This record gives sequence, structure tokens and C-alpha cells, in this order.
Amino acid sequence: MTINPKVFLVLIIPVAVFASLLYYGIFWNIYIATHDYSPLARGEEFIGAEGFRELFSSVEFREAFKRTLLWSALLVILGNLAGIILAASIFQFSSPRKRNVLTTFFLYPLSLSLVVVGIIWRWLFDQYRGVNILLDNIGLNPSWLEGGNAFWSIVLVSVWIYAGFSAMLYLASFYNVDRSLIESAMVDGAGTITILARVVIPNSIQGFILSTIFLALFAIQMFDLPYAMLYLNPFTETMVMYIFSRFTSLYLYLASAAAIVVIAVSAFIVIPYALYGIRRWILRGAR
Amino acid sequence: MAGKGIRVENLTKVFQPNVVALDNVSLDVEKGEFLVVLGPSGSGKTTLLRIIAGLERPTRGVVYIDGEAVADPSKKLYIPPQKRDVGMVFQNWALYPNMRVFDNIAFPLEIKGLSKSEIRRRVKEVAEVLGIQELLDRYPRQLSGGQQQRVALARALVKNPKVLLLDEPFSNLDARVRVTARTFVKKVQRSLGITTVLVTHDQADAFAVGDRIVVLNQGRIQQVGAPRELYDEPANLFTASFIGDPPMNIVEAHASGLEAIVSGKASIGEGYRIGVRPDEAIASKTPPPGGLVATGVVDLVESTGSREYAIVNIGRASLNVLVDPSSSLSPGERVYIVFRKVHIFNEKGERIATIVG
Amino acid sequence: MALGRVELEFSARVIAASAVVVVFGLVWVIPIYGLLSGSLKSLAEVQGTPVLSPPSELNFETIARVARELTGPLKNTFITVLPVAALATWLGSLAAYSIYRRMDRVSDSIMVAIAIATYIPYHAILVPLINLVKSLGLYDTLPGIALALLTYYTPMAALLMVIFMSAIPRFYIEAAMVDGAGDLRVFRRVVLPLLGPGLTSTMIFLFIMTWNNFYIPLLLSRGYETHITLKIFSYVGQSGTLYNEMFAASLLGSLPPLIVFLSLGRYFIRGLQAYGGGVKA
Repeated sequence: MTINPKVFLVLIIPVAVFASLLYYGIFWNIYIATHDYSPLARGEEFIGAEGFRELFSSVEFREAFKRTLLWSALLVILGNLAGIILAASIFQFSSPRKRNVLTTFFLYPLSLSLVVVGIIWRWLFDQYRGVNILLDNIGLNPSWLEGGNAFWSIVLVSVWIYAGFSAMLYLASFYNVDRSLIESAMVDGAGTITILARVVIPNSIQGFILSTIFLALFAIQMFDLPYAMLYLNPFTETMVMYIFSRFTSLYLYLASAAAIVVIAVSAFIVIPYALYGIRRWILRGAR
Repeated sequence: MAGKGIRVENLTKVFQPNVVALDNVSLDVEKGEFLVVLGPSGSGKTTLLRIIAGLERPTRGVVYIDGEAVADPSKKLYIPPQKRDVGMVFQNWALYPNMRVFDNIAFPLEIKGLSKSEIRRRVKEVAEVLGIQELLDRYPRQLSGGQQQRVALARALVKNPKVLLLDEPFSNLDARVRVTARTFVKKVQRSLGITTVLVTHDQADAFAVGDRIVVLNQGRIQQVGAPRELYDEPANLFTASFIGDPPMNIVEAHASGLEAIVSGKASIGEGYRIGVRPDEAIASKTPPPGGLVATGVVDLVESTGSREYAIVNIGRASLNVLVDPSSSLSPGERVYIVFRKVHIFNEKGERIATIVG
Repeated sequence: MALGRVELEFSARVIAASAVVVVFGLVWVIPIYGLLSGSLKSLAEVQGTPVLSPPSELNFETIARVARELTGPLKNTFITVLPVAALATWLGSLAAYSIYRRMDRVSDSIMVAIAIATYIPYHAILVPLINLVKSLGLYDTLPGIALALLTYYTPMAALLMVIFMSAIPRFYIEAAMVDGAGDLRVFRRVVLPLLGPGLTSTMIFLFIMTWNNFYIPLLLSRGYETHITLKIFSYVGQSGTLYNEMFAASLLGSLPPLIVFLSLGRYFIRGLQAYGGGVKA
């Protein structure tokens, strides 16, 4: 089966170069974060963890850090919840065509630019002309994007975007559940709810794990959506937005230090996923 | 020193981490011979074939094709499959689904860089030999199993390879087609005179096509011989029980009531076993004139359609035996059993004697 | 009688499921409806009427005007994104093939490294990339944006292609080797034709992702003309925001990915599944 080593090298090099650039990006950030690179700096002086100390003593970053983690937690909880409800509902339809159409339908937000999604929802959240027209009928008139409310509203939008993705992952797991398991449970007299709760959902751990990992990753890199809706609003500033603002104001070492934090938090999520996904990537099992 | 067919010397293959697939296997395939490697799944037979093809590298040992070494780890020699000039038929035929039958067969020639007209001529030629001329414009998915197999054979043969390797070529065919396919493959092989190795787990395949059969188990050769030889003179318990249908009865020599019939003709030691083929032990109600005879009680009678077999209890042993067509037996009856042939295996499982009645 | 109970339960179950789908479905429909109706209203009507009320008349004037303004950015985006998606898919499939064929410690490690790099947010490692693009004199140019997109999406393409390639049975490759085909011929004649759906999925996935990318063009451009998402974003910031134009720009800018998604959705979904690792392709 082996491939000629020279051919291997030639074929892998382009991808290897690009992948190395991504790793270079990580190390570059480490270098910059530990060297004073601000416009006022005297030079490339080693400052060690000074940048990180400054970063974490900044209220703005601490807020952004906490907000991003909170966003992750909320997106994981609400996204999984919406995903599993959607998936369980779609799963009830026996026609594969119907299932596919519904899955595609609930996935369409992912084919839109986050900027566009932000624009639409900003308008829908308009106090007088948006969805409040409907909510007025039941006596509600929330000011969605005012002050601290904005964060919760945009979190809901992010749930709207990614719920279909989560549902898709759950559905994939559901389909993998052996039909005979479900049928034997039916023969045993189990009802729909029992079958879902006792047979289907326990067999959907894979869907849960994947969905959780990706929802968390999506939240950690949140930028486009809040930026398109409210720019660099202090109530919705995430870590990536903090990086962006420090970068554009040329506080490079702070931008880099924050980038390292983002990478570290991502790695914390990605590495367990990598351990989980490793068998699929290295193909050894497929021989 | 190596023959002109295929020669395998002290071949060992260890898969990571520590699975020994082949254990010091040596083998000679004569030029033009049809050799069958027969073994249960996991015996290493497919690995052996893949090493000959060059799809796996041996851990130790040497492989020669047509007198030339093609793999020898001790000399860092490894000729890749592309340069070995072998034809191979895969278990599921591996016809390229995106190519028509013609292009599938033409593929090896195209690689050789033959001219278009030469390719067309040779594809036509081999298609004629295999009787698939009308299929050349079809796609593999439009073919039946038997047709796909012929196309795979055509693709393997079209470049006139030095050797032909067949990996379970009949296992994906249904029972009816399988019988004709065997005859067909044998006929093609005969007429082309190509050195051929076929790997199978099915003894019927092996008996139908093999000039010689190699019995492989757990990576080791158990026995090599002509089909009849393996049946009549199994070297050990594995071959004895693996070959033959219905399988040979094997009983503890001491524990059975059979000791008496062999006594005087062979000495029975501790742990010895006696093997009797159902077709070589005949049960009937009338007492036979002589020979190796025992009596027993019928437990069960089964029919295979053309023949009847009975489970007969002789002492503490229970044997599957052929029922004499002239008598009809029912459970509980006392019967006479005449043994045509009785094999005796020692405590290591080797056959040490065969008593003919 | 038992049958009757099952049937009753069956219908109750589907009714409940349908109710959930309809309620959620409304939330999924409203935004796209708002986008459409907003684009068709005049400025006065957009500002004076609720988002959800339909336009009083079909006014294509705004859309036509915005379409003219978007021509440049749309063209720019196409000529950036199409080659990037195609090239990344091509390079990715070459790498995937070499990894699929090699299968030893070296290729394993490379694959794991590629996969992990793919899941690290590019937002965090973009700054050095910008410096690189600047040093090549490509800042604020389409090739500069393309290079940055390629850097991030080529490894991702390789990852997706490895997952798609693992669905190809190895015996095809082995048969081709025995037939005498060299490594490249095996790829061209046997693997590539079998990879069709995987290539399509990867390319469509990358097309949609790169089309919708905002952060990379934002950091690599001075103006708003280089990428469609920037251009759309520019309508948000205008003083006394022209909301109808903002909607029209959003709609027009979303049409290419939306059309691709609606017509070739299953390929996009397969790409998404491969990215999410949910199922083996």
C-alpha cells in the first residue's frame, strides 16, 4: 500500500506549508505577547508575563473573558436543548424526504453570513418595528438591544444560528441507533417518550459530545455577529473583539496575549476532541 | 535455485503490534500449476497472497516469482506490485465503477503504454476467451456477480502476467453460479497454462480447481498435497477435521468403543484419537461378512436428499455414519457398522496409522 | 386493540412533533421574510411600518440601485472565493490522498496536526498572517485576501477530504497497483473519479464559508469593496441608515450562498457533517 516517499512529500507540501503558517501564528503570538510591541515601546524588549498580568488586570478584558465563557456555556446549554428538541421532532417523521427537507431548512442560517444575520436580527429586535409588534399582543415590550439586554438577545441569535447544526449532529446519532433496538422496545410496550428517553437519547452521547464541542468553539470565536449588530459595544464585547480592538489600536502585545488566551481556551476544548477524533483522522482502523 | 513458478521461503509476517499472520511458511508453486491455499478465516492465507502480490511486505523470508526474488527484507529488497507482473482477482472483484468493462480490462494495457489498436485487439481477444464480448460497453454495476468475476479475470489476464492470484473469487457468487464459475476458471487456467494461486476457505472450491492444495492454519502450513491425498491421508487432526463434508468423526481412542476394532493393528497410547469419515463407515441391519465391524444403537437419522446419515452410539462414542441404502433405520435400533478406513492420531494430533478394512 | 393504541400514539406523536417544527419553523422563517419584505419597501415605508408587515407595493427600485453598487464587490468576491475554494479542495485532496496511502506514524502525526490547526479559531492567529500579507505587498488586494483564506481553509479542506477519502474501499487502489498503475495514476484514474461527491461537498462547503467570511477581509482591507460581507456591513454604518438599502444589500449578498445551499444543500450538509465529525461521510 505504501506510497513513494517523494510523491508523498510533493503532495503533502502545500497543505503542510499552510498548516505550518497556522502554527507559526500561535508561536508568533507567544513571542509578541512576551515582548513589548506597543507603539510606545522602546524596542523588542522581553517582558515575560508582564503583558498577561496587564491583560488580566484590565477590567475590560476580564469582562470580555467572562462574557465569552458565559456565552459558551449558554450556547452549549441552549443550543443542545434546541438541537435535541428539533432532532427528536424531525426524527418522528418516518419519511426520509421530510426529514431531509426539515434538516436542511433548520440549517439554512449557517449558509448566511453572520453579518447578514446580525443585520436582520438587529432590525427584528427594533423596539417599535420589530417582533415586539407581535409580543405587544401578549403585553410584552422588551427592549432587546438596550444595555445589558443586548448580550442575552445576541446569545439567542447565536442559538438560532447553530441550533440546526446541533440538531443535525443529534440526528446523525439517532440514525445510528439500531432500529431493532427501537423496535424491540416497542414490542416490550414502551411508549414514544420512554423510547426516546431510554433508548435513543442514551445512544446519542456522540451527538451530545460533538455538539457541545462545536457550540463551545463557535462561542469562543464570536466576533462577526455582535460586531455587525452593535460594533464594539461594551455590553457585548467578546475576547476576539478585544483582540480586534487592541490590534487596531496597535497594542499588539495585549492583542497577542488575548489571542493566546483564546487559543488556550480553544485547545482545552479541541484536544479532548482530537483524542476522540484521532481514530477517524489517521485512518488506521479503515484498513 | 528458485523454480520458475512462485517460491516462498521461510516467510513470516507480523502485524503491529504483535499478531503473527504467517509463521515460517515455505512453498513452491510449479510453473503452470494451479495451487489452492485453503484455510479458515484468520489463517493467514490472504496475507500470503498479498505478500506474493506485493501489497504487503514480509517481515522475514524471501519471495521469488519466475525465478527472481521480489521481496527479501534481509537484503532490503522489495519490488512494488506495479513491477511484479502479476494479475489478481480480488474477493469483491474491485472493478473500477467509473469505467466501462472495456476500460476496466484495458487499464493495465493503457499503463503499459500500448497503442490504441493493440489495446483494442488484446481486450477483444481476452474477452473472447472469457465469453464477455457483449459486455464491453456496460458498467460494472450493470453486471451480475458471475459476469463481474469474468471481467475481473479478464483484467487480471489481459497483460499476460507471470502469475495469477485469486483471492476468494467464488465467495461472492451464489451457489448455482459458483459451480460453473469453478469449472470455468479451471478451464481458462488450464488452457493458458498460467501459474495460479487461489485462496479460499471453502474446500469445495479447493477440490474443484486445485492441482495441489496447501492447508493453512494459524499462519502455519498443515499439509500440502493433491486433493485426494489430503482426504485420504490427512497429516494431522486439523486437516482431518477441516477437510471432508460431512466432517470426520474424531473420538478419544480410549473412551470409545472403537478401541477393540483397531487393537492388534495399531497400539493406542494415552491421548490418542481415532478419526472416521462418515462416508467410510456404513451402518446396516444385516451383519456384514467380515472386516472392521462394531455394533451400536441408532440415535438419530438425517437425510441429505441423496444419502442418509445416522448418529450411532457405540459405547460412549457417538459417530455420524452413512446408512446403507438398502436398509432403513430408525432410532433405537441396533445396527452393525463396517469401517472402511480408520485413522489414528497420536497425542500431538499427528496421524500415525490408517487401518483399512 | 393493541394495534389501535399504537396507531393512536403514533398520530399523537407526529402531531406533537409537527407542532414543535411549526413553532420553531416560524422563528426560522421570520428573518428571511423580514429580509425580503424589507428589501422591497421604500425607505419611508421601512422606517414607518413594522418589519413584519408586507410591503404595500413591490418596489424593485432599491434592489436595482443596490445591485449596481454591489456589482464590484460581488465580482471581487467571486474572483477571490471561487479559486480559493477550488484550489484548497484540490490541494487538500492531494494531501489527503498522500496521507491515505502512507498510513504510518509520519502521516498520522501530520494528519493530527492539520486537524488540530483547523479547529483553532483563525481569529486568534490572524495578526501574523496580516503582517505576512503586508510584507508581500498584498495588503488591501484580492490576492492578499485569497492568500489568507487559503492559509486557513486549505488544511480544513485536507481534513474534510481525508474523511471523505476514508469511505473509498482500499481494494480499488490495490487493484490499480496490481494493474501496474503508479501513485499518481492511481489518484487520477481511480481515486479521483470515486471522490466526486466528496470533492463537491468540500468545494461547496468552502465556497459558502469563504463567501461569508468577514473577519479576514475586514483585517486585510482599507475600504469596503474587496469582499461582499464588508460591503454589506458598510450599509449598516451609514449616517441616517438607509434601512431598505441595508436589507437589499444583505439579500443580494446572500443570494449566491443561499442559491448554492438551496440547490446543492446536501453537499453542503455533508461538508458540515465531515467538519463536525458527526458521521462518516
